[in-house]
Amino acid sequence: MDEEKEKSKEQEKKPTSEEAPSPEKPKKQPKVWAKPGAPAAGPARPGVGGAGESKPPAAAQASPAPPKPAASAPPRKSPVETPTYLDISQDPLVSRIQEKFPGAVLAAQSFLGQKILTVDPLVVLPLCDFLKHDPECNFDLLEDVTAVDFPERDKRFVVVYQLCSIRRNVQVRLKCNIAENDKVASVTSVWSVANWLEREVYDMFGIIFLGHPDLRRILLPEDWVGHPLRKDYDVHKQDEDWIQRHLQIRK
Amino acid sequence: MEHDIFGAIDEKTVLDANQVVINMGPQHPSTHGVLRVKLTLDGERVIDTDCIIGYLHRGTEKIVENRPYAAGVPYFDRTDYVAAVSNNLGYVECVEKMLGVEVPPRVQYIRTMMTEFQRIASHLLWLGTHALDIGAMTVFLYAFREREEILKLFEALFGARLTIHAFRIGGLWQDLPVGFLDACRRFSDTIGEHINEYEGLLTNNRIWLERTRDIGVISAQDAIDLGLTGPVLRGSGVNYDVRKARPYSAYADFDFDIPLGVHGDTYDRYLVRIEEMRQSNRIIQQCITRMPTGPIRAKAPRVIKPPVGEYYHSVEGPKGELGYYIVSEGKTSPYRVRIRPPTFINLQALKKLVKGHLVADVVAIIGTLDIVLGEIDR
Repeated sequence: MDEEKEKSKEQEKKPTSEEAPSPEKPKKQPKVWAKPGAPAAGPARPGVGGAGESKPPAAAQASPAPPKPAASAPPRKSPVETPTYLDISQDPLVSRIQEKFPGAVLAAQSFLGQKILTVDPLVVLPLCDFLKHDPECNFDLLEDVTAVDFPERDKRFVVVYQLCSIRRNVQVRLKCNIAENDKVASVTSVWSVANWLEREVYDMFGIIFLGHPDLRRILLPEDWVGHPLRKDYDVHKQDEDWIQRHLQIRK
Repeated sequence: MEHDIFGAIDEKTVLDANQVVINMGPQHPSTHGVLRVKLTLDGERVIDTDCIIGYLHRGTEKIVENRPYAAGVPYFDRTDYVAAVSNNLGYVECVEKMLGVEVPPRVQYIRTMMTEFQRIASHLLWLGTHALDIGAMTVFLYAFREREEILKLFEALFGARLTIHAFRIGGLWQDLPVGFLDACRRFSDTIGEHINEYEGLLTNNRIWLERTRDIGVISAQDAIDLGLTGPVLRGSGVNYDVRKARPYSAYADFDFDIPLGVHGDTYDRYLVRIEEMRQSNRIIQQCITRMPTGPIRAKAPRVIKPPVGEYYHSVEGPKGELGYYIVSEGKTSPYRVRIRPPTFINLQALKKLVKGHLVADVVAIIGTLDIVLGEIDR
């Protein structure tokens, strides 16, 4: 249903864009949408997407040539410049941290105006404690803890902390890169909210938080095998043994 | 053996012998879904709780990683399924920010207005079920009567009532139908009276006061420490509302107040939500009178491919700060989408809130947290 809606929306849009060179190309466009399976977003650009799951058959049969020019057309006419990561190492917050923890900030960047500090995973706990209690920083609200998996990197996981200061109304994002078997210190002692958030990261990525008071799975069953939000965990994958054992469903 | 039982067993063990562990849920009418709370009781007093969640886990974050950006929107209808408009707004705006798309003012006004309708609808559902849990049946019927009107408006504009795929990246799928603003005005003119009606039933009701006052008290500092957001945080007197702190959509254009509680108890949270409905109605009225004309779509790219980067965008959902953190690798589907689920984080406070209360109060406290299991489990 939703695909259909999308399709009709696309078609509705068509007449409005005058720049469309010929009616044919946009008509092919919905085809890309029509393939919902779509880890397959990859197939349109098999050359570029190295990280995607390999789906060569789809790319072969889909006649990828026509969608390609259509896909690359919009950026040309869009006047918006591509945002990039900017260096903010001169930021007062960064120098304040550098003062206390020399070398802790590995990179200080901003993207679309949001501050991102990449920090040394070894100092996460004292640094967070400092950021919360230092009157100039005063990041009292930990909004989110999550992770991103980049399996092709040496340090595959990025643990992301989204901090907010209610009083100063500023936000900052801390990131630390860790390898698969690395552990990172739990910040539960600094913000109690980290308890469940870190449990979820552990559940979904298998990242161990040292010093966490109660590191159990939270959304998946205790005895589930695997961590679903890792990139090497396929979207269709399940713990077949668990399902067989508990639900008596065999594939 | 029996004659020296109290001599041989120390006091702690005697206490332990009185402790009972019971399960509340996952099939329990007042857990608002499939929440299972393991209560450790001493008589009727709650000593400890453990929430067991995940019964409704569908892997939304994983699914949308494998779908084009635009196809991800309907999945977020199904996280907080009683506030689909707010969910859509957060995601759609996050992608637009990454794309650098500026939506026309008319779209922003319509989005703001519908999000505020959604806030009222969500609060009405909360009010109805919360009152029902505590034993006030009438409020439930009244609240659902008004919520129905909002759902009819949704149906007229979005074509569905609950999981409505409200917004598209770059705009709306259709303009306001003929007579829609009049219908909104009719609703907006009457809802104030209806809110007075609910207040007449509850605010000074002796039973309601007994059941909610000083129940589930949380201090401002603890509330921030536990990451609470939304009415639960403001009930403790912390002035933090994303609509004011980091105005998005058209919120910077409107006058509205952020109601704050004082005691941080269930009653104050009830008052905060009631007042929030009035403030939402104020925003809606301003939207209706100042609704700009113009296009309903921005020039968004046909194939949505945000540049390599990351963005965290949060909106004030009816239940708290609803954030979306999107990591893009420059492909047609997001590399990672993280939902910051307000109710998941608010539910964590249950353990602290119910400690020392009676079992019957657990029901009131679950109600006051306004949880939706679709969002907790995702």
